[in-house]
Amino acid sequence: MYYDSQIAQVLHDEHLRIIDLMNRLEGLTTGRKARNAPAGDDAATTILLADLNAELQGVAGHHFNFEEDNIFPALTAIGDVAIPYMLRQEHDLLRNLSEVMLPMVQKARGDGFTADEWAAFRDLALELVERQITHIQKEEMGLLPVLSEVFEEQQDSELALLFAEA
Amino acid sequence: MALAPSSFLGSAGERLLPLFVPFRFFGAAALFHLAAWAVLLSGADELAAFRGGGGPVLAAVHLMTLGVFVMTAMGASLQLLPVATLQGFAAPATINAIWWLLNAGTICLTAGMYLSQHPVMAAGGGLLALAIALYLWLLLANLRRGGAMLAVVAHGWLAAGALVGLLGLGLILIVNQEHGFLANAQRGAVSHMLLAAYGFMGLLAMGFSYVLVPMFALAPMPSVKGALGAMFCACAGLALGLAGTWFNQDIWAAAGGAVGLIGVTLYLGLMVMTLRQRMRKKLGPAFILMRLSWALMPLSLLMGIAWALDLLPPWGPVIFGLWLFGWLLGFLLAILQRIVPFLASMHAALAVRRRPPTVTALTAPGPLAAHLYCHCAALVLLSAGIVWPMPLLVYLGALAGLLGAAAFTWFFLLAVLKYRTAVAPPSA
Repeated sequence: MYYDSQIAQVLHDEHLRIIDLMNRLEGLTTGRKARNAPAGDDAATTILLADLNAELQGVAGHHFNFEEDNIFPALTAIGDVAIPYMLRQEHDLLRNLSEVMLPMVQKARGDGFTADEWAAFRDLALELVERQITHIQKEEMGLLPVLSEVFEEQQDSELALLFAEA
Repeated sequence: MALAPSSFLGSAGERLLPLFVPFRFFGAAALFHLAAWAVLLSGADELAAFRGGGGPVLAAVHLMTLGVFVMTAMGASLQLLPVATLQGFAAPATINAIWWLLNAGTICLTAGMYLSQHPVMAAGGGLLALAIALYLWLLLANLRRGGAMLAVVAHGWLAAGALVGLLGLGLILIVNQEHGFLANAQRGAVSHMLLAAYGFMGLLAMGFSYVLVPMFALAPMPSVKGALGAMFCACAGLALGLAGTWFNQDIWAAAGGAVGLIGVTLYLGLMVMTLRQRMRKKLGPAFILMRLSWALMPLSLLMGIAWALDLLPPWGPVIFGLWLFGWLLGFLLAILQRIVPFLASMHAALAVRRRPPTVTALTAPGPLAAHLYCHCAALVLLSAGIVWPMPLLVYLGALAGLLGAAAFTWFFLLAVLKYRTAVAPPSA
């Protein structure tokens, strides 16, 4: 176990998965090769767009909703208001970014990117990567390590189960 | 949720302080950084032969230690400790008083040192004692809470102990300068320096590394057992080193350095393992500075051991001091260049509902690159100027340091300006 708390460990594992996706997205959208849109038959890009599509459609949303419904209220109840408030604001921002990017990703999965679409996608993708990474950094430092102090063992197990079931 | 963020920041359960609290400490540190290099520049010809005593070199040393190191450590710990202990610092007036006393005390003490004016120095020492006593009161009250991050809290306790010791010794040294009651003032001064650098600053730097480095690199936190093992060795080494210095037993001091080196090796091993497991491949220029500072950490201890065994040429002790400073300054500035935009972006997210600036948007890469080159050039030129010795090289090194400090201050000001622009209400 990486964390003393089961729910912290579950959320941390989720973070690892999202970071991996963000690293791949950053790899696609930076550097010399990112000046031009990737070829429509590029296998790595096809897999990446499929994973990104799933993420934007709701996988991250599940993570955000879970934290907002079950984790943040517990912190707020002990007087720690600012950090949950700030994380919630960031969730809203990431949701908005996802809503803007999702149709672009879905269109690109069918038709590929035109030069203009690629330029717009690349800028948004880089913003998504940066905002996701810094958001995860904040949660890894300011949220997950304290969960073992906030929740009793029984409650912690129930939350881990709830996250898996939802 | 219709909350005004400023209405809850700073309350008892709140772990996030209002932004101006840590930023006023960081801003003052940036200005003292400039002042330290400027004062060293004015006394560049005295550095190679420096063996203690009043004047610009001693003033520059204390502008750096109190003005930059302690100022940054206080600002960072006031924000970071609540994250570890789940207990906020609900004492805005006390923190305000600490900041004013620390600034006034540092200016007074270093002016007294520069001008060799004992009463001014003594007044500065008194103000600093008050600032540190208030800080310790806050720190200990917070650490008593314990918390999830055992390694950080344990390092905090020991750093607080070292701070008490270095304050006491510092005050004794000030009184001794006028009344001369110590049999060997230089051993007292070396003990004061060891407690300050390896004790208070070193332990805080190690403790916060275990949180900040994994966070920025997106890597697992190092094992608590490993961190506590490194801390135990560092403390045992420091205790041996202090005993050897105080009781004139050079072999004890050297043994202390060796035990400390084991602790440093463990600590650096944990940092290397952490970075190897990182998910974030691009670490940015801050980590170049951090790696340089990590390289200087064991080198300073090796120089210290050689000094204790009388194996160093006459320039050795000054190089020991320079590399010791190089380690702490490089580490703190590397951390600052990451946490200043990071904290600003957190507060922007609290204040701005629609698209607050990203960390990248709040980071000015040009000034940071200029600072990195100047910082490295300063270390190389100062080392060469001390070894040969050539006052011109020392002068050029101090000039490079001053230019680097100006670039760093520019980076800080730009981050503040960009943050203020982002959170300013839109014009109608």
